Amino acid sequence: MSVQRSELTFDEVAAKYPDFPRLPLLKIDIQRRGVLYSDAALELFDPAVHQGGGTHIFGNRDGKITGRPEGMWLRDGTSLVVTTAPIEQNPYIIDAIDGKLYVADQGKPIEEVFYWEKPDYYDKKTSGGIAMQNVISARPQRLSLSPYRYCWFWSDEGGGGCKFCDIVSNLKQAKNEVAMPTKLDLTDIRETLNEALKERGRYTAICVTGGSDIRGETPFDSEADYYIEALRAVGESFSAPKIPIQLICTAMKKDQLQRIYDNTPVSSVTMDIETLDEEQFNRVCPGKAKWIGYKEMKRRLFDAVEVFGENRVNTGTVGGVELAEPTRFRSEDEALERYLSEADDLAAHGVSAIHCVWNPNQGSAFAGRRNGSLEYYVRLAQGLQEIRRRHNLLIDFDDYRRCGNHPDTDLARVF
Amino acid sequence: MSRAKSNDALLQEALSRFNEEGAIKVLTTLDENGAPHSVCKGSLRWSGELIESWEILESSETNRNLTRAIWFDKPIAILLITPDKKTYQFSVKASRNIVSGKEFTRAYEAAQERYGGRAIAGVWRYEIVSVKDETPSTRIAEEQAARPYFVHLDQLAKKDNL
Repeated sequence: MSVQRSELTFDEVAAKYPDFPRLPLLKIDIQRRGVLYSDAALELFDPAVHQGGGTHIFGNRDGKITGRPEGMWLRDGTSLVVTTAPIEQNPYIIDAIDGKLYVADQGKPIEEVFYWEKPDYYDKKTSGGIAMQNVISARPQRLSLSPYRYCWFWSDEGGGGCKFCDIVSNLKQAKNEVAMPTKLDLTDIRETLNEALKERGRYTAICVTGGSDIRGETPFDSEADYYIEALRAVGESFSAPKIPIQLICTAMKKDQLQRIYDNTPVSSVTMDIETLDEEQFNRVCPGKAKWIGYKEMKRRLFDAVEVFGENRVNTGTVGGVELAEPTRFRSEDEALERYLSEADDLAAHGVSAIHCVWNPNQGSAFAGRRNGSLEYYVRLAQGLQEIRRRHNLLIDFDDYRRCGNHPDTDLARVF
Repeated sequence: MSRAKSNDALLQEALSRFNEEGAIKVLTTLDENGAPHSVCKGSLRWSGELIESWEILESSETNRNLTRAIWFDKPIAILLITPDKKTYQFSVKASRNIVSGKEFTRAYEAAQERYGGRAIAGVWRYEIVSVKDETPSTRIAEEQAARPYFVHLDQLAKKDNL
């Protein structure tokens, strides 16, 4: 049985939800459908000025990681963290008209967009000869550091990874195509960070993340150890004891989180539960289900609030993956009701649930499946932001500026 | 100055005085409930091509209202009062918020120099919709000419009768 979905068009959704801002609405649809760059658009892409792709831990719907722009802005400063998609998947077209870049649909330009600009440090190399853009990647206002990119949930004992995730296949591709290292050297991190910080006003936060590591005396001790090493290396560049660093790590036990918090400059933590329903979680995230479990993940998130404090803990979800068939949800309504009910329970314990728009990337087990309708994502983004407002939760550490990949936290700009 | 002056001429006059030393500039935005919110905005300037301002605080009511304005096409007003009390009101729309890139960096560095090292959250750009001459003496003359009934009789009485 297939999931009953909304079939409303962009204009119909815009008319039905007049209180939902149009630019974030467009962002959602662009993320949902993916983009394809026209030849004219690529002619406007200047590798000396604009930021090219190839450095992130996840891949794209068309399986290409290089030779394309990394992302774009809308005119309100909204970041478009996009996936490139083949034409048969009906992507938006990024096109150029009279020297300006537009996002277009059905041959009509809809909005002007702007390529992200390349960080000053991107063309430099560390003393060890590693391209700095492979040590720390950038979004318009965030530095992204992945000290260790392999995910042990995909190993023989890992349990089967997460079905939507292409981290390991993307790593293999990135190693071949851009010589991406699996594990970073601390000296490379220090040198790259110091170089990046020379660009005044560019960055507002650092995101540290990577693959899960089940190894250690207790599971994830090894992961905690290398995050502490890397975070301490990052801290050497700053005078303040705590700085805006978001650690996105596996859901660790309280003593592991406390060890990380006490010994590093990290100030917020994200532990991704991925989908807000235990049955779906077990199906979609068999690795996390084997090593942690859904209820235990929630408990660990609540513990994290005690370690990091209020407004410092959230959990990421892959919005729409709960609709990947076969699913127990018969309709988008049913999935949404379950999702928001769980998000409300998390918020009552001080944990924000956020979402990204699920893209069935080529290197993942769910490649080729359908994500949610535009209306589904509008209701999801609105619902999550309303829950945060009701529980007086701030999401500053993962907002449009410090991340830019979550439509629900984009809405927090006006509250 | 008269409203009979063409819009283009008035606009050129107002813009030519926009960056005068000592000019006061007030930015008025609308909040979530439609209530106006006004702030003196010293960073408002005419670049020669467009009006722009710096926003220091990410969480300011103005910044949030400007975001609402660009999202929902809400009107914005800029009041310009020159040192010799010429007053112009611009009706504008938020056209762009620049938060990163070389243009932002240039503004960031200029703001740091002007404000003793303080950072800015973003640069807002505005599209001009219209401009009015709101100088009190101009408005009084206009009303006297166009709306002769809007007067108190003592203003018209022979001085001897007062």
